[in-house]
Amino acid sequence: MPRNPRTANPPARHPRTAARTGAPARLVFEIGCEELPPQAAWDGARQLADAARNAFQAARIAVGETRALSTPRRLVLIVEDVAARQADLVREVRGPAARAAFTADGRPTPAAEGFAKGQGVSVAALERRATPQGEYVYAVRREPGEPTSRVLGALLPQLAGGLAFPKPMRWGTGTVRFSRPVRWLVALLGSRIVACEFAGVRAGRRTYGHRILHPTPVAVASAGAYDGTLRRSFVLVDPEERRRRITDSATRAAREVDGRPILDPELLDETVQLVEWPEAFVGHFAEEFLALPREVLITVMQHHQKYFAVEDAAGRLLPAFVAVRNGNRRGLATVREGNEWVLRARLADGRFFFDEDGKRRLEDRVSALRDLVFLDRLGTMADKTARLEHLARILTRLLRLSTSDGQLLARAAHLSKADLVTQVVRELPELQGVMGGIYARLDGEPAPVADAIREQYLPRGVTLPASTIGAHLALIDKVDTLLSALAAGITPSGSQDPYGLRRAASGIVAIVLRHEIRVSLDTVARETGVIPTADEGRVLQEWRSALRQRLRAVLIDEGISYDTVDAALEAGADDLVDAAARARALWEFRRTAAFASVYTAFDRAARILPKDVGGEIREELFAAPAERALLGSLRKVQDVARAAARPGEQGAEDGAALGADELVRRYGTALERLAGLAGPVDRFFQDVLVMDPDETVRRNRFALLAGVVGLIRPIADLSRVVVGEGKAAAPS
Amino acid sequence: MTFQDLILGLERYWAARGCVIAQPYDLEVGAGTMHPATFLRALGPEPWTVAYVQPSRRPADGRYGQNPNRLYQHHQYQVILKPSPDDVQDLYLRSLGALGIELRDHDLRFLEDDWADQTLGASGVGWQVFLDGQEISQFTYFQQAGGIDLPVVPVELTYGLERIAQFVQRKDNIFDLEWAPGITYGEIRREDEFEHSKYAFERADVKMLRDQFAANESEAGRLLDAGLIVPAYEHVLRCSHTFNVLDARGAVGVAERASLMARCRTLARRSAELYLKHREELGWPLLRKRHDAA
Repeated sequence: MPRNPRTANPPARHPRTAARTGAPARLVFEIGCEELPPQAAWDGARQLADAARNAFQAARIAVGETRALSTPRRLVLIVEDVAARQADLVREVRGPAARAAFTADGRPTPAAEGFAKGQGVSVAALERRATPQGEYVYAVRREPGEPTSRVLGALLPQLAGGLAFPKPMRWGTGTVRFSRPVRWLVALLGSRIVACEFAGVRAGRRTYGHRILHPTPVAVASAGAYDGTLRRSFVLVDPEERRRRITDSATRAAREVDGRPILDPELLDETVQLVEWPEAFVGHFAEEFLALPREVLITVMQHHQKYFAVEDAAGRLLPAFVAVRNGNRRGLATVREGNEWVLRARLADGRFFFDEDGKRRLEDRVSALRDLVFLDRLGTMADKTARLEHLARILTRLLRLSTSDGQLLARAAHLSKADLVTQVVRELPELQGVMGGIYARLDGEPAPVADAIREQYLPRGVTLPASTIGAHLALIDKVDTLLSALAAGITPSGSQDPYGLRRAASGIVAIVLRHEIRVSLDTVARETGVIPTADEGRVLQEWRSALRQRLRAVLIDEGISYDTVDAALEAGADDLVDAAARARALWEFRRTAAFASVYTAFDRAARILPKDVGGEIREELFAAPAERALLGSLRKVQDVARAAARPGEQGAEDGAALGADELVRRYGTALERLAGLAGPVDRFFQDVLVMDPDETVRRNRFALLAGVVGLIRPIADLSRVVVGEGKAAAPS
Repeated sequence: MTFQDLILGLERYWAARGCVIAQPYDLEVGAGTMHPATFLRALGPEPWTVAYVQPSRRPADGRYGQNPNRLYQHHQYQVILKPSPDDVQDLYLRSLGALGIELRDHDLRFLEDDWADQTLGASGVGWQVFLDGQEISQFTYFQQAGGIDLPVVPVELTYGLERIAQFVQRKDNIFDLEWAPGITYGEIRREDEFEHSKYAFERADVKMLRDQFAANESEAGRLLDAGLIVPAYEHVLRCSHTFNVLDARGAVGVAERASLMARCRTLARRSAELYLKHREELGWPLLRKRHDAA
């Protein structure tokens, strides 16, 4: 453990008996709760360990390994080798210069007396020390450390009170807020109780074992005996041990039906925090239910019953499930039978709904979307469908999709929300889109339409739409959500984003980049017609800024320095693929030797230019060879530089189809060629006085420099680049 | 264990733990929470413990008595303990034991579940209780009612009586449950289920219901102005049920839906505020009584 550099060991002149000092001891602090939500159990433990590390350091208590464990009923802090006392606090404060503090014959001046008084030390205790600035007077104060047990009495309740939960609650007549009611506290340093209190509960050595298997309280003899005591009370306090036991016993249970459990990671994380003493078992359901779509079966099992589905070696679902009981094997037959009974009822419901849904085509359900609200203030799902169909036409035109692709996209948009009024999706909302895809296929819709409907809600996690039509549908779905919300005056604030607008923005960026969709998002936004004319400025500004922020985050995540990203985005972020390409090319280029010369050329030219310069360059006004030379170089590089200029924004049809890699390559070439301007710009500034007294000559020189800036600026606004020691060649 | 054994067992258990055994409210309600013994008594600092069966009507859930798991009217067993006692989970678990459920032979879970009721402006934090994978109860620490923060937190235990009975009797179909020896749930309830479903989905007179909603709303407002809290609140309950029937009838449009609920919520909030004020004027009688006893 690193020590605080401003602390020191207790000085030797305070010898202590072994009993007073004591050897380092283990600390256990257990916050016993009613069943915590799984996320709160995970987060609470993480926060507890982090906060404890900081708190011990701040309290000058030397400690060994610090970790926090959790179960559904407890958050536990375990700290090894906790020193018996705080380190003494040594405070050194520099005072006046020695010659101001003491007279020549060594008597203290009023300055020394004032300083000593202010620091609470006697004048005699002031120390004189040589420093590089000369000799100074120092006040040194040593505050002896307190016994750790006393410090912990205040520190532990603060740790508990400092935990933050997304939905804290109150209970009884108390005012403390916690994730769930706190019912007991164990606080042991070695074998001694740390006297403290939190949420109206006094800490002691009494804990509780498994709710059913060990209903009576149990005393923990010492911190070292904690884990073992709990284990004997049927509690595995380490979540990783429970995870192993769940995985092992689930795998063993599935083997009984020659299958293996699908150990969905989220469900596994959740299950670990639902049980203190896990025991997996296998249950069965009737084979006939396998006729239901795989997604329906898995959703019913995983999301609603918290069971793991079971598949065979070929990946086919078996008519079986693995459930994890919080307990041992007693009465397991009853538990299995109960769970099978519940699942059977659930699956019978599911089959009923699925069969009912099959009686009508998706097409015939679209009209019912009138009765379904999309989002407050944003109309119904029928309104949303109409907007998506319009957006599909816009995208088809802007991307110049083939007639058949355009028709597929339009069809997918038309049917996309129809599954929301099916019974299966009403019962299992997480299957929106997935069911639409299944029903579309059953209706005989073209496969790309069915796939697109299934993929419309992606990205989810790292999964992005794979099909082209799916990417387009997923894109316009999010464009509509974000734009309609902004148009209605809804914006995400702080951590609050109830409409999922940030998610929509990051979805747009992810899809556009992955599928290299070259389109002006400004144009898309304008053409939707959802923006009220009076509000156009505000909405467009928020729209651009939402997307630009997301793109910025993505590029910085790739390892590109923030100022490089800002320089590229400042030059335009309307075509996201193009903007990303400029950022990536600039980042590459920035780590070459040539960057410095381009930067310098740009910087010198940009600095001297007033706003609003322009006009033609008139060669007849040239007075120095350096002017002619610069113009020559300008003409030589401008074709290459312009070839890479943003096709999407300028409507230059030839460039609009370029992929991301090709764009990066072209911008890279352009930047390299621009390096050729550095020498001529240099010479120009050396030989020519830009601020010529004759205005015509001066303006002509500005025009020449504007030509230089004008070639670089469409790629990146280099004034955003932070150049400092080593910055220009910052490693990725 | 018959359906009525279940009710009798819970009544005896909670009466023995000092609960007032109240009767179901004699108005149409969607849940036991709407009973004034919960909604109003939850407010303010006064202690209160009560238990009762509440037949609960959910018109849109009606299935003409044909669906094995859905009902127009189901039965909740509702317990309110205010302030929530420290051992409330144990009290709840022992009530299952009192029903003959030996917990060591089962798997019991408290699964996170937060609850909110839009029409009452009420919300809470707690769990769904699962027994061998079956949800049998809702367990909620109220945090707000009528949009007002609760200074003393009541805990609400709601047992789903049909669910528990189905589970205990292993009946896939609610209507096959044995209500009393020799007579089934279906024999007692199925005709009513059919007729209520028929009414709510097909025959309810939309104009009459709309008029009723408006009349009850204005009457509630008038009574609130007159300081008659419970009669006013009863008209709020009537509004709420009328809204539910209109909704089942398919007569409520998207925009109207939110507005009708907001109108109920406004009245519920006013009732709650007035109730609090009134109890305070009375000097929080139940609180004073406990202090005097202590």
